[in-house]
Amino acid sequence: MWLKRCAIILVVSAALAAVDSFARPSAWTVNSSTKKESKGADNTAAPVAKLPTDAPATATAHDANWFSDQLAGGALAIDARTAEKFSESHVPGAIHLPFEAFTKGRPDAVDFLPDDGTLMIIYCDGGDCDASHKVQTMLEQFGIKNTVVFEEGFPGWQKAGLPVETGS
Amino acid sequence: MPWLLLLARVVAAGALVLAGVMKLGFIGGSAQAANAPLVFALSLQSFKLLPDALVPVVTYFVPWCEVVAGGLMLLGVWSRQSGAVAAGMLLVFTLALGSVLVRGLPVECGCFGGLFGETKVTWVNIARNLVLAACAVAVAIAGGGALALKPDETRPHQ
Repeated sequence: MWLKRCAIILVVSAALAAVDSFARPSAWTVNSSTKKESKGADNTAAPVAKLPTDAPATATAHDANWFSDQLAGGALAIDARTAEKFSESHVPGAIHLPFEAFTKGRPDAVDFLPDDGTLMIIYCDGGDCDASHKVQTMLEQFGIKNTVVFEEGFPGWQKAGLPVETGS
Repeated sequence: MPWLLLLARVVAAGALVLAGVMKLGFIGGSAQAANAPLVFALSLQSFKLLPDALVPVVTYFVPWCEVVAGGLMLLGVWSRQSGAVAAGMLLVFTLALGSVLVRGLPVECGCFGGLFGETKVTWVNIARNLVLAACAVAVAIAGGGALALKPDETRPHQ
């Protein structure tokens, strides 16, 4: 009887979970760990990239100078780090959009992102930091797919000796 | 003793129900309801413990299990069994958080669906989980205590 009741609790939970997963209005998928390299990542002379709107939200880039060139050409930088770190220092002109902003629904900042195919380059702290990938996935849910994650993060930007901006 | 068990029930079950409801996005607007499972899934993924194929399954199962087991425990129905399931879940969560700390991964807990802001996993999360697990274990062993809707509980050997 004791184990049977435990099993019933687990089975009922599983049934509710199954129903819920099918009943949600917008189905979603979690990106696999396979990342797609951005074509412009290793080409510093590449023009401003405009990814197709149906591109998977897993594109990544590693070259800070490519990042800088894209910004000069009109791309938008999105900083997914904490507010403290953003205030301390960030990529010039970057928009602050941390992952936690998505836990309360659709962040207001999403409404201010361009919808003309402008490339958006998301970064966080590099290394094990995955906030930028999370923000990329969340943006994809809102139909914003023209994004690239700068894998080296803000440390990579600084290491390249590129200018920074302070304040919020 | 019955009132201490009631306290243990309310603390552990209250935390579980709140965590489950927040992960499912049942508090807040429709946008939050649509976002919440994905937010939790991304937290799960960043723990790097589950294969990607299992993440969506666990994303829905864990919060519903928290709501069902926590809800029963809160009401005092099948208190021992719901307490045992809750204790099991909390111990698994604690192990997962511990592995994150040991591996030094800078990830958010995702435990309460961002209710208290997304902060990096620390030993405080582990301590909190152990306190909640102790409450759940007490209920699993001694029953629901005072104000339980169904106080005549079965014991493990029955």
